[in-house]
Amino acid sequence: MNKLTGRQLSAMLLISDAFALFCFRGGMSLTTAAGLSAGILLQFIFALPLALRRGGLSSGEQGFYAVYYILWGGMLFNMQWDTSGELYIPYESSGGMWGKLLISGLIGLVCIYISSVGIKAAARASLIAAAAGGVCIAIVVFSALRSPDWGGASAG
Amino acid sequence: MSIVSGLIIGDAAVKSRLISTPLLTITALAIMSGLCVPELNPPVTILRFAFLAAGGILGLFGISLLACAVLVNICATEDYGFPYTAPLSPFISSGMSDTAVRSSMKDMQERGFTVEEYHE
Repeated sequence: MNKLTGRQLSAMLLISDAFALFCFRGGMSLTTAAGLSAGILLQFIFALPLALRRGGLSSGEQGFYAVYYILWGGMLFNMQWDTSGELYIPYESSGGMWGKLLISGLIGLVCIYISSVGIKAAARASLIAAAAGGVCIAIVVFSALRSPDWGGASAG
Repeated sequence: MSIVSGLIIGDAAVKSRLISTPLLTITALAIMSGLCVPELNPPVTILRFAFLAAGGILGLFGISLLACAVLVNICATEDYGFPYTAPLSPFISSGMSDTAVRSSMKDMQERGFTVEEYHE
């Protein structure tokens, strides 16, 4: 229950990138958007050989991605902690310490549950979520291209 | 009679401003979706209460978290060793002819596909 295929690993990378985008606050300049896109593209270029190959990962690749996910997880937690105030939770101020702790704790609980059922199930769920996310992004891009407003775009 | 009474009650509730039109539309869509697969009604009834509680206590954030947990639970389910979500995830292109859009029986017999391909 704990072996991933390259395709599932790619989907998990996409989902982790999407979570980083969810945690993004404030306006985004064209330079930031280009840098973000380049980072995601680089990540996918590195993951592409794995995605095209059927079967599991070698021990070296497993070690590399284990370290990568630990570091990336720490960064995502930091981003999520900073963004918690934007969430709306009835009965509790999400901007306060208890609200942030509640949000982080609940996300942590779901992560523990996902870990308990195995990374294989998480990878399968990532594939479905990535496909749904891809459809949502395509709809957003399509609707944005139909009536573009470049007035708010800035280079710096 | 139930359809007519539903229409009358819905119209009266909107006109008297007890509920809004989007709420009525979403409720009607949810009920119609529930009729698509009647066998799923009992498990969905339990989940519906769980989602209601999560939404009431934690708002949209709670619904999203519970949806993540339910999705992972479905993906972890295996029937006789085969993933419950196959061929969508793991994605098996040769198995897609028997999902939302179904090929003809002749095509499915000739495609040379066995369920053994669902094994990861």
